[in-house]
Amino acid sequence: MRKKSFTEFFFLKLQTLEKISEEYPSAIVREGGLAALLNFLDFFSMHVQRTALQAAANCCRNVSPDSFNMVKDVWPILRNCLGYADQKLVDYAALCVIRVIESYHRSHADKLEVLVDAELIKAVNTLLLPAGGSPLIPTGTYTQLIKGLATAARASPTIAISLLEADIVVTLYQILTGVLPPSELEAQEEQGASASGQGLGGGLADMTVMQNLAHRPKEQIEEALNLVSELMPPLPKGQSLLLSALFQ
Amino acid sequence: MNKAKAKADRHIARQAAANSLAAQTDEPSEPPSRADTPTGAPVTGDDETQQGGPSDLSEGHSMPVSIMPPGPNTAASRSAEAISDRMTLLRSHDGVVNRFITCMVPILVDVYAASVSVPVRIKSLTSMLKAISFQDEEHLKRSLLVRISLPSEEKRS
Repeated sequence: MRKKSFTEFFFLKLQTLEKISEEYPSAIVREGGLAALLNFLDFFSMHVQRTALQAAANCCRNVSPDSFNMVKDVWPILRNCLGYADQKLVDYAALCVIRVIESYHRSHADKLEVLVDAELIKAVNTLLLPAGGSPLIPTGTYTQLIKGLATAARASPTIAISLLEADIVVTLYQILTGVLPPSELEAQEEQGASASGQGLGGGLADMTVMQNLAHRPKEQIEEALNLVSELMPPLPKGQSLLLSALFQ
Repeated sequence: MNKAKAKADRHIARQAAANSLAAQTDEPSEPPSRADTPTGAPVTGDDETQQGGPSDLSEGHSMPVSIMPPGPNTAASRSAEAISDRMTLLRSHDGVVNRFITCMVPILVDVYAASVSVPVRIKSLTSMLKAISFQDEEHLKRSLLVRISLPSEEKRS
């Protein structure tokens, strides 16, 4: 696999690897398969790239913490893939990220902190931004990506801060309202003087929000709200009990 | 059935943790749930993942770092520590957090008003509650007074 002198053979091997990755992903990762799959991605044709990324996505499912170093090595490649033009490639790369977050958030938050750094957040944010326009990724993956961010923010406060600093607020605002948020200057001027109709900061009518909410899939709204909730400061003592009593 | 029981147990554990925090005793107050549940390890693991998040019991930023008794309450004490760490971190990044809150509170109000589904409403309310309990007076004026033109929500200061 490592010689790669015959690209035709390589492609066949890649297909085999992809089939294997559906059944035995952990074995592939253990043997350094991730690096083999992704290191030479740019040299190959679109079809081969897709197969490689699909295999990588399968491998990232339930990846073990021991393989952290392997994941870390291919991470920049995955991050770059998030910005590629081909929809399927972006989809698979996003799936990789999502699955890695899923695998690491419970007990290895420190590893997650290394991976989900400002760079990755920037790449994911750019991906989520055309919030309403023609999305680069299918809605299911989009929703899962937001959910992944929420999981990561919940696992580590550092990640939450990085998310806030990366202007995730703009993305969330767009997801929930469909328009861009007012700039900070505007918000400060409008203190107590928002004569602009029905009162969102920016003169946004309630109808706009309602219409946007109606158009978005319900799961996305829920996950976006979840992310907002995770990014918010923790409740003071006793409040969480109050809330849980109130609603259950 | 098991899920509901586990949920009730966690609730009791949280309440017990809250009581022991308030009393600040040294006695390890064994919550009844730990004695009851036959599967000790999975419940603890479950507890950790559930209580690791910010939406759970918190000491509040005014209290010093966790004075929890070691031993049976380690999951709860670890989560309380994590939450106070989170609080300190957020306080230190005041500007960004406040900008986030000021932007999002009007949206959360609108989402609450516009939605019928109960989970969505609960989430928006929870986020609003968190935001408002975090901010101080000056910032609160900025985030809440944006809606001053609506007659039903006039002058929330």
